[in-house]
Amino acid sequence: MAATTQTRGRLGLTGVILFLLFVLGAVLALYRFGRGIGWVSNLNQGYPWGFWIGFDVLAGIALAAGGFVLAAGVHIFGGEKYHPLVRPAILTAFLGYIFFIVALLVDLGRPWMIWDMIIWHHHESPMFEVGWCVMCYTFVLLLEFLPAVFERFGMSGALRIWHSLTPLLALALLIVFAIVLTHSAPWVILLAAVLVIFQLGVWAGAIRRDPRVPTLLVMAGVIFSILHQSSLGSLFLMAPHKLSPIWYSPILPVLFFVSAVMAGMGMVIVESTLSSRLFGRGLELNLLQGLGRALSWTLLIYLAIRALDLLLRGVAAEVLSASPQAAWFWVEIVVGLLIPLAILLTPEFAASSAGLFSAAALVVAGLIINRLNVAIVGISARYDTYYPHWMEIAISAGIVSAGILVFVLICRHFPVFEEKHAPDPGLRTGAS
Amino acid sequence: MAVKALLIDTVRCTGCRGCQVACKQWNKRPAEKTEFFAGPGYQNPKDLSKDTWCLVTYNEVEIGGRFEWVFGKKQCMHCLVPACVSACPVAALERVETERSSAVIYHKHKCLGCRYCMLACPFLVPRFEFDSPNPYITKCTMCFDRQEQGELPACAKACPTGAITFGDRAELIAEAQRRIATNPSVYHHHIYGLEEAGGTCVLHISNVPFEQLGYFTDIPHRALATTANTAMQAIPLVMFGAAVVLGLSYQLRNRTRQGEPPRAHG
Amino acid sequence: MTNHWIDMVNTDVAMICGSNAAENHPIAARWLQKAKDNGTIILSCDPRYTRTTAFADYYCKMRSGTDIAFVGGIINYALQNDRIDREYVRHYTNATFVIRPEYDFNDGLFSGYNPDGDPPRYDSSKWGYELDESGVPRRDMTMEHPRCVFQLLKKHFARYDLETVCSVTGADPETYRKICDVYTSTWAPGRVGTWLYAMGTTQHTHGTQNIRTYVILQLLLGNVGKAGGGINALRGESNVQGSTDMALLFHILPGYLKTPAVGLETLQDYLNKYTPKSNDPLSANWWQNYPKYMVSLLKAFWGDHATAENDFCYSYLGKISGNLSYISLFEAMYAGKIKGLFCFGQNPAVAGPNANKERDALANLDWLVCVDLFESDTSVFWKRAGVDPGQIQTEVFLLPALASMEKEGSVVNSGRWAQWRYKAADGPGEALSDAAVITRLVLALKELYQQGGQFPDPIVNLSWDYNVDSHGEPDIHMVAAEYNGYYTSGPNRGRQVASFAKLAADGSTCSGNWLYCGSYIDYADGKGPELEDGPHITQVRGRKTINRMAKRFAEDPAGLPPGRCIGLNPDWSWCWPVNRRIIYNRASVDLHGNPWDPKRWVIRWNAEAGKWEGDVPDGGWPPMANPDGSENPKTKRPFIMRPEGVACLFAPSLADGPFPEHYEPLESPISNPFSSRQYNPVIKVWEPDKIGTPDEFPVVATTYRVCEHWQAGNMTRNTPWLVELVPDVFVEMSPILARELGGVRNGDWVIVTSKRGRIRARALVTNRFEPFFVGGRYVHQIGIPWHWGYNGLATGDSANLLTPHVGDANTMIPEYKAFLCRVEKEEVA
Repeated sequence: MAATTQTRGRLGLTGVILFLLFVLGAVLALYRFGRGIGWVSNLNQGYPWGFWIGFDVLAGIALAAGGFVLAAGVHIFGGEKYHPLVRPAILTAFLGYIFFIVALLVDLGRPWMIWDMIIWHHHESPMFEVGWCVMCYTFVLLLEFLPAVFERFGMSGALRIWHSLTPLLALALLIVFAIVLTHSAPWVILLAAVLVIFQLGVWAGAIRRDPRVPTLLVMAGVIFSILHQSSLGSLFLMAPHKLSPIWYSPILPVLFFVSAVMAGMGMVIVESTLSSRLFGRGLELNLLQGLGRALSWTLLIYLAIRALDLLLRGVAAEVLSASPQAAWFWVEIVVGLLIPLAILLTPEFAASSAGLFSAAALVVAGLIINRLNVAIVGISARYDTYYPHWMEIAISAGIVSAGILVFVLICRHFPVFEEKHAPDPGLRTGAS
Repeated sequence: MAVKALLIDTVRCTGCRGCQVACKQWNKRPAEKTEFFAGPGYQNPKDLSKDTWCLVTYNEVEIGGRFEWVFGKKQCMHCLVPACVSACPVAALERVETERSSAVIYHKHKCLGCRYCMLACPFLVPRFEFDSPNPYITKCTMCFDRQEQGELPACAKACPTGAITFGDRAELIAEAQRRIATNPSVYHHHIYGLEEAGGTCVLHISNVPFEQLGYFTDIPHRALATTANTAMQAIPLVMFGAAVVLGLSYQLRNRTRQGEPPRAHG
Repeated sequence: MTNHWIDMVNTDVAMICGSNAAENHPIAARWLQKAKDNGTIILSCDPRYTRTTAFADYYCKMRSGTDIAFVGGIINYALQNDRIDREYVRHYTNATFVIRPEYDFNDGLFSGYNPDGDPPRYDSSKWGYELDESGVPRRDMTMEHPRCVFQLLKKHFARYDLETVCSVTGADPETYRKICDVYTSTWAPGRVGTWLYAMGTTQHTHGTQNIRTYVILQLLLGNVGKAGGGINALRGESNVQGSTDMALLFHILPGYLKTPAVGLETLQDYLNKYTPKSNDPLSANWWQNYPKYMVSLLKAFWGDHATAENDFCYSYLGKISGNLSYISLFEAMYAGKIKGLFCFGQNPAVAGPNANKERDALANLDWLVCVDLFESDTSVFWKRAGVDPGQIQTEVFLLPALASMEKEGSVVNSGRWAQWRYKAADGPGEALSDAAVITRLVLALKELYQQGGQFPDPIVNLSWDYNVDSHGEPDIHMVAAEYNGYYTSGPNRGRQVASFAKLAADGSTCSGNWLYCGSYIDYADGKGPELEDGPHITQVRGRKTINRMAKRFAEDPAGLPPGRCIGLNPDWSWCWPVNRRIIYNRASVDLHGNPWDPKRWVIRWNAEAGKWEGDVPDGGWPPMANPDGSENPKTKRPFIMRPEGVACLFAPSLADGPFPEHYEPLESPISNPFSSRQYNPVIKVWEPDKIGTPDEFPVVATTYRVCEHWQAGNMTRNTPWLVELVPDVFVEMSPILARELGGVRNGDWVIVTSKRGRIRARALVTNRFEPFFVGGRYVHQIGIPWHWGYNGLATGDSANLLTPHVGDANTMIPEYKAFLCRVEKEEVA
């Protein structure tokens, strides 16, 4: 085993700028808490949701989807060669969710009440579901990242306990979540049965045990992710009269999920490329090419679903009209779908790191535009107008900057990129 | 369980705004700083707000080629299946029906300030205290506390002409239909709130189409939460299905690679 | 009102002219809405489209100040098309009376005009009735005699044809014809129309004659005395009816007795002058009882000091030397002739016409006492913008007053119903009721006058027996009981008098207001539900009494005899006179005592019982005709307060003429097309060189109120919820005028100037005002709500800075409603 190399990863001027942005954002956030949301934002009675929801919440969570996509792809669907991409993706996701929560606390009017969501249950509300689901998934991400921590501090005993405990924790999370969200005994029992049978199978040896991460944990991550990525879209199902038909669709949850998968993959490519440059690591180009192929398939599927949805709902007229909403729709499609597809379907570009990076970056940008379109551009409130206040953007920028800085810090001090997988002591392997 | 409602008959309204002031007085909402007027006539303030839960709108229209002045009343519609109640994650908004009263009320101690109710409401009713560090949602409560004491809501009590009447929803609908049927050339043939958003407990009849009163008229005739409910009901199925699919995929994948040791990385 | 509020539900057609009832009397809309539910037609005639118009079925516009032409045209329409109730007119009005040949009308002037004199006056003896041998007016029952009132009326109003009327008023001819047709449809005995009016009618230099046109029309249509009919003034404040009943006006004593003038040295001189005489045995001439009321009043004032020997202290009464009306007072104040002023809940700095002059006049006082709920504009006149407090010598006192909910007492509504109210809350700090302020003043004056002074007797001997408490509050029940009156001597001494029929001229009774005799009676005189226990059962001077004003027994509409008009509610509070809810109700029946309109009868004669059923009849005498048609000698004619016994189409006792005639307001855009007399020939014009002319001031202006604010704004401009609704003073104008002013948009600031002052206000550009096509050209009109002043939470310029110091020929009520101005867009610096 090679010794842990000292990663470079000094940010230099960029780091200073990020830090200053973080300070500005923090100061403005304190001001927001001291005086009220109205003093730092242009949110109004017709536009209760704006940039923070559109960017930090909707886009932020979608961009953190890389975690579950990679985890599922590697640990469930057998894409072994992508293994090196998993842990950074998990870290990106974990930090993404943590900082999403920070952003949410800024946007909520009375954020100290957020714990009461555990007590006051309105399980039929899509937002309740998003809240619970995100809480559970963040916990899952934490659990998924813990091995890196244990490795850093050489806590092999903790790692062993982790291996034994996390399946149970995952099981418990899923069951509790199902109870709270469905209030339906039959479904809870059904789900519990499937999961318990699976885990029993693992313990009995009938189902192969994954020595790196308990499968049940990965499954929990996938299930939670499917639910809340789509539920963020379900939030808007309540507003057919307010959200433009260009974006409003009964299958909005599906569209949100698929675009999250796309964006997650895009983020992984972007993050990989940037960290390889920053930390002086080699770029796993073949992995990224593989991801690029998967991304292009997902783009095509999304494009097909989206086009069909628009046609079947008879919205052709709207997207061809001369309104600002139609214009933004085309920006979203061209930037986020058409150009990346063109790049990825061109063999020379799809093979180059520059091509992959640009395509992925465009997909990420397209996703952000899409979420902002749903949250702001597509909303018509009749009397009011809204555009983000610079302070709103500054607070979001501060949060993102903090996220990047923490990411870099953790990458420098924890084994994110090189892994030492201590073999599971309790595992009987067939190998030497 | 009572299903109480208000019937607003704008033909009887003289635009006196006794209702608007009675609401402020009963709920102890402060006056807003206003300048001149905010509508064709004497409308003030411009719109519902965190302090104004009942607003009389002034509208200059044409009826039969004649100039006329007609008045509307904006307030919470107290829907039968309220979108705000469906949206609220902590059930701070609740539709309550007791023996003698009903209304959509707000439990402020539960509120997160997430403002989802504001997005969901098709009538743009809930208003938020954006300028406060401890902000709450505010809206008309149909004077639920007064109803429980056997009293009329403040606006209905103040109205001199009976433009606002309070009673059982079914009876008020019958009365509205009777008025339209006996004066077909006076009334616009529609009861606003009968089916909008799945039916509301504030019903309006008028002598002009409702968009001329400043009301929103493109509201679906079903509860706004219907589609969202479908998505929410799919959750257990998705969970179950995903668990099965993932479990099976994992097993399938590992069967094909039986015998291969797990790849370790150094 | 001759009728009352609830009675409006009984009408077929409601004419709202000179009033914005739904705006300023929202409860009127309550009863009118119920009437509309039964098919009543509502007519709104106003210079602009108001909130009342939104409520009405038909609307006709008319230029401010042209009411006589407008209604004169309807009168003419009724006469020309024979849409009149002939029998009613013949028997119940003076249509049949023959007028002496000296009466003449020519080119805007009646005979007997004396142009010298300030103001000029008429010698009304030139308008006398021709009397027969017994001294009774001669009548021509065929109404054909060329000098009978009916023919004179027709001739007078023949000049008010439709084209002329529309070209003067600016009304649209087709709409106007419709209005005429709908309203005069009430001529039939089975149909009735009610006429609602307010300040839009009265606040003109010809205000009294405006009302006269309504009276003439309603009489021609047979609408007076019937349910759903009448002449109904919507009083402008909640208790102004009470205040005029109690004579808070210079020219009357309580109960509409006359203030004695200089020259009437003895009581007998006074009574001779004011007690009308009639030689007609069928005329009740109720005012012949005048001496009883006057003596009882004097007994109430000076108690045992007032005796037959000293003319019941008549010499203690101040005698007026002329017109001491509101405008006169301020003119005198301006000239430095008045030393001190009490303003009880009055805000002349905002409410008075020609407000600049009135504010300056206040500076000439030695002292000013304001009694009010809030610091009023008047109380701080001395520190308003543009004046130097150092130059003003007036000593100003501001005394805190209790609001109406903070004290007990009666409030009299427009329908003459005196409703007793109770204290609902304690007032703030040291606030006192008006009664307490006056009581403390009187008691202090009494004490000071004990030590001497100029003519102390009237104060020292003033009877003030009201169980005054330590705060100075009198027992309001003792005050009310004294208004009713009690016996001052004899076996019934101290007992309340049961009705004004029992008041005496010999000093054995006292009564603070004869109209209210019967409102607070001895328990033994009660009957019906009022004998039950309740808050209306009280005790005064040790005797059990009934405060009828506190009665709250509503009638059950289902329990009424068939056809009885609804709403009388005889056991809900008490109204004057003697709880008669619809006055002149003996005109609602034919000569046999059968109701003209059996489906909503007010009274009817029950021949078997030999008495009237229903409302308190306007005199219990039997019907005018015997069953065989011959005249019943025991009867009396229905209009008992007139010496003629009948209502006056021709009114010889008014200052400006027996018939209404259209004159333009003092300031007018056109010359009077009806005659060469531009404005009312007998008004006092204080400053003839300060009359605005159309070349300088081309726009007609009027002032009015909004629902949200109250009078001079002292209360409402200090109430945040009301300020939120209507914060700023504004000028309503048509979009055409706005364009002509150089593109004034809704909300722009404009300057409005008149001969007397200028104001700055926001323009409210609306289609509710249209220009008037008058005298062959378009004339614009604007309207300004007058509630604003320089003090309070919401401030703004007072519309009354623009209005003129001129008033009606009879009452001197200022002409707030029609004057000239100029409007300019404010140039942004």
